This record gives sequence, C-alpha cells and structure tokens, in this order.
Amino acid sequence: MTTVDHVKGKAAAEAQPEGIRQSMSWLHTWAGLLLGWVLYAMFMTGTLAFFRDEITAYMKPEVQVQAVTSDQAMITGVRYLQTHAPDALRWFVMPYSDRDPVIEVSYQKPGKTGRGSFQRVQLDPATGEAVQSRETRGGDFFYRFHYELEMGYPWGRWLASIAGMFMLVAIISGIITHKKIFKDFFTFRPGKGGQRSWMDGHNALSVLGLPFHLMITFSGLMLFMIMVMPAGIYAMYETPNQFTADAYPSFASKPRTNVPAPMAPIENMITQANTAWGGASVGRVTVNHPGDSAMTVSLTRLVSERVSYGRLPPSMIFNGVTGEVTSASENDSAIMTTVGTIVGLHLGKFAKPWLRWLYFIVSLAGTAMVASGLVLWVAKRRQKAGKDAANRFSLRLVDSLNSGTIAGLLIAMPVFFLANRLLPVDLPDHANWEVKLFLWSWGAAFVYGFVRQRQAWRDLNALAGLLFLSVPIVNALTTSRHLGQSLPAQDWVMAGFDLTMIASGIFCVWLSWKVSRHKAKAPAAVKPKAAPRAAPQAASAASGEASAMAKSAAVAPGTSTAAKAPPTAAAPAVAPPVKTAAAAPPERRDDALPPASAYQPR
Amino acid sequence: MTIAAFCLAYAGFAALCLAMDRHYEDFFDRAITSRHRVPLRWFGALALTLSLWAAAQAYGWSYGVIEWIGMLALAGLALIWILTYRPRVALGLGAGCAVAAPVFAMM
Repeated sequence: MTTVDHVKGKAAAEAQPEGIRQSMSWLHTWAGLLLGWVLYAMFMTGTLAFFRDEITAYMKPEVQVQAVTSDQAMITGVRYLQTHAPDALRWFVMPYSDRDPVIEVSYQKPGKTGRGSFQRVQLDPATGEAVQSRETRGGDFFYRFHYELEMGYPWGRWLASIAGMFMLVAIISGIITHKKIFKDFFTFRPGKGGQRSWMDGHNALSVLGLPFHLMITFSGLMLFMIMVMPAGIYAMYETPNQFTADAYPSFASKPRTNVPAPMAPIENMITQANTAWGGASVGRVTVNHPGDSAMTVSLTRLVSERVSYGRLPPSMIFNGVTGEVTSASENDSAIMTTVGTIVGLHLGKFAKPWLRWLYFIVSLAGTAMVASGLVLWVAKRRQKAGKDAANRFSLRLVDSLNSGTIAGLLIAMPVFFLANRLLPVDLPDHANWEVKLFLWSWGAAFVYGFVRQRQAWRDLNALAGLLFLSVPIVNALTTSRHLGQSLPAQDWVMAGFDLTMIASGIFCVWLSWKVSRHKAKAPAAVKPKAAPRAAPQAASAASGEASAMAKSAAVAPGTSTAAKAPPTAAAPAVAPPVKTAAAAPPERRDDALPPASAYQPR
Repeated sequence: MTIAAFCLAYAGFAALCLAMDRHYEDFFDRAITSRHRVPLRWFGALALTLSLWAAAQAYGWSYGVIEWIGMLALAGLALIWILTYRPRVALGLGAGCAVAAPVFAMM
C-alpha cells in the first residue's frame, strides 16, 4: 500500500507542471511493464484454472466414472477410509464436483509430518474402490501456478501479491490516463498499424472487461489478505494459530484420548446437516482422531451453492462417537458474507457452464490486455525511435522478453498436455515430468526469443499453433476418448477440451500468419531507401501483431472476416521520419488521437 | 432468457455505438443529427437495462448481475470485432438482435 500512496503522492506533487494524466500515464506504463510478464503468466494460468476440474479429468483419460450426489460421495469416501485407513490421524473427503466425478479422499498417516504425511486416494463412486490413473497434477498445476508460480512457499505467493498490487495500480492509473474512454469505446483500427492499433486493441480489451479486471485483481489481493496484511490478526490474537482455530473450526482439534471408540453412522450426521441447511448438500468432510473417543466430524456445506460461500461455507461439527451436534457455524455475519462473496467471485466455483465460459472468455481478454500492453510498450518506442529502433538495446530486450513469455507460454501449455499423453503411463514421477517439460519448453522458447529475435514471434506462434492442433490428434492416437467418440457420446469434458485445443491452435497459426504477412508486405509498401530494412520490418511486425493479438478476446478463431483486413492494413505504419518524431511536443502521449474527421472507415 | 439478455446487450451497445459521430458516419455516410442521436441513446440505455432485467429473470438478481456483466463484455467485444471489418453487418446485427430478443424472451 505504501508504495502506491507514495507514488500517488509524488504524482500529485508534480501535477502542476505535468498534469495528472501524464503522470498517471508514466505510472501506468512502468507499473505495467515491470511485472507485466508475471501478470501475463498469472492471467493465463488463472484463466485455465476456471476449468481446473475439467483439465484434471482430461488428463486422466483412463478414469471413466459416473457422477453421484455430493452427499453420496461423502458417505462413500468415509466408508473407504474406515476400512483402509483406520489408524490415520485425520480423514478428509475432498470437495466433490460432478465436473470431475472421481471421489478424492486423503488421510494423514501417523508418525510423519509435513506434506509427505498425507496420502491421497481416488475412488470410483460406483464401487467405492480406489481407481488407478496416470500420475498427473492436471488442472491443479495451473491453479497453483497462478498464485505460486512454481516458486515454493511463501515466495511465489508474495510475488503474486506484489504483482496483483501492481495490476491494481496499472488498472486505476490506466482509467485516469485514458481520457477518451467513452469516445473510443467501440474503436479498433488494425489498419492504422503500429502504436495506434495496439492502443485501440489494448483499450477495447481493458475497458470492456473492466468490471471483471477490477474484480479479479482486487479479490485476488483479498485472497492473501492474511499473509500480506497480518496486523489485524496480531491485534486480536496472541498467535496466528488461534485465529485459524476461530476461522476454520473444522481444523481445531482436542487432544487424543487414546481410548478406542467406534464411529457413529455418517449417514445420520449428513441427514442432520441436510435438514439444518434446508435440504442443501454436504460438500466436504473432515474427521479428526478417527477411531478415538475424542473423534470429531466436521461437515461443510457445498461451496458451489452460493457465491458468498467462497472460502468459509457454513459448517457443523459432530461428536464422532455419539453423532451429536457439538457446534454449528453459519458464517453469515456481514463481514463473513462480504469476504466470502469477494473471494467467491474470484474462484468462480458457483459458476454453471455458461457463466464459466463467460469467466473464461473475459479472463482471456484480460490475458490479451496484459499481452497487448507489453507489446504496446515496444511498438510505441519503436515508432518514436524510427530507424534507430533496431539498435536500441532496451527495445530488443523487451521484445525478446515479450516473445519468450507470451508465445513461450502458448507453447508450454500444449507441451504439458502432450507430455501427459505421450510419456509412458507408468513412468515414475509422471506428474513431475509433465511439469518439467512445461518449464523446459517455455525456457527454450525464451532462448529462441533472444537468439532469433526477428523471427521469434512468427516462429513461436506457429509452433504453438501446431502443438495445440496436435493435442486432439495425439489424444485420438493414445486414448479411445477422441472427438469421434466423445462428441456422439456427449462427453463434453473431453470434447470441449479437444475443440478448445483446435480453436487455440487455429488462432495461434493465424497469429503467426498475420505477423509474417505484414513482414512480407512491408518492404513492398515502403520505398526501401527511405528507411533501413530493419525499421519497417520491425514496425510492421508490430502492427501485424497488433491486429492479431488485440482481437484474441473477441475472436472466434479462423473466421473469414478476420482474415480480410481492410486495404489500409497492407500499408503498415512505418516508423515516421525522425524529423516528425522529434518535432512532436514531448508531452504528446499515447492518448493523443487524430481528430475524428481524420478517421477513414473504409 | 439468457439469449434474450445477450441479444439485448448487443442491441443496446449497437445503438449506443450508432449514436456516436464516427460510427454513424460509417453507416450512413453523413453526420449525425440530434434527432437521431437522442433516440438512439435512449434506446441503447433501455436495451442494456432490459438486458439486466432479463438476466435477473433467468438467474435471480444475485447471479443475474454477474452473468449480465459477463455478457456485456462478450457482446461489446463481439460488436467491436465485427465493426472493425464489417461495420454495416455489425450494426445490422444490432437491429436483428433487437427484434430477436423478445422472441427469445417468450420462448
């Protein structure tokens, strides 16, 4: 917070000579650039995380089970634990979702500590027995990468929080900077080329998704509120553990008595909870000290039922031996509901398929917003630098970082899915190998971005497209659940995933084609002697990218209208003569638009 | 009702878009007059409001608002995208959506 206030204060102090818009523009540019690459990766993986369960289901193709009700899943889970893990310290039946209809239970083995002490098992709802599948992290990988960036606790969370704060600063300063926010509301001019097109695209993506972008950024910061701003807890509690015990009563436990005792029937407890909640289902079961006379059973209401159940849905705690209710919390105070709603909106667990797709698409627009902002940074300076652009170290550095990050992640994602299918199913550490290949391919794209800078955008996007397109093919070759089977069977998780891969692939190939087409046309459109070869190439590459990337949000890839750019697109904006650039007033910022009359629609 | 809400959102945005100098010129090849601007704006605002109402009818107010915001973004991005390459088609679709919305609402 202090950094923001400080910078804002600084901006206010300089408001006299420079004006608030200009100083905010500076802030927007640099706040956006500094952590833009991290934000892009967070946005993209976060977008995928909305389909976390579906991705997980896709990556375990050998598991084909029928969904049951959540209550039934809880009963089956507890039954399994009673027979297979009677001496565990704790039992968990994880939140059940019919989007990935496997029941997941986990238990804490005695005599061990840390993460290694937890054993996870997947169950078939029909038989109640364990099902085997290839080892994979599935959608959970993207979900965790979104806020931990594979960096380990707590560094990734801190970096994600800091990036989130920068995002909030960038959004608010962006709104202030963008003075023609309503006048340009529907404006996108890919034919203008260079900076102008990028600016239009960036604006359209930002403004139309603004409610979502603000919500997702603010609520994302709220998720780590306790870590980032712990002062409130320290003011009220001696230790953070006491707060946790208050906030998450299901984890609070009394000491073991070491007197064995049988468990009361779980069905009765679930029925009691159903009645208390007006017929609503149980979404999660936690049993402390199973088989001990101090056993407690905690039932939590289904999270997906209401937006406000984001993190702390109502819960009931039972005495595990007698089956009596010992305490119940509705968590419905005004504060809890507010926090729950904000967090719930971020996680989107309540979203039904249609809304989930809206979340996905608008979040993709957010990803494209960050990406277009990063590319805009280069396009703008390139235009200003003119023929000097090719020699500027800063432009080359940022451009390489851009292609390595943006196109690199588009390569890493299909590699992750391909690794899931192509690595031997019984390979030890299968899950880790998938992650390794994801990171290595991203790293390789990064190196390529630096080594072959001029071709990087075209080549990396083309590769990404081919990799995306190969996912459904490899799926068809390695499993029986390909499109020919999943579509007639209305297996929407498998079919939807394959179709999304095809759409992404077509989009990436089109992106690459767009880049190379503008590159090829650039020398013809400009007198070769007017500017050295590199400058128009670079500028036109940027303009091609502009029209391409900016559309990614609204895109239904591969539609023919998109391919037919207006004739103006053939003459990309070449870097203006240096004289003009120098003659422009120094205050002239990116929001200085040509007058409306200068706009030629067709 | 969901489709009706989406159609209303698109029609509303198309009307608001047409009420602007630049886009009106795209469509009619002449400058906009206030005789056209004012009703277009009113229609746009009304359509967006009705779209919210339709979303609320379909999902209840708490969910409906969220759905509506998502639909606004989608409708707006679709409009901009088509407008860029086929301005007449984009705005014509707006009129089509305005007509189709009540039909979908009654289905």
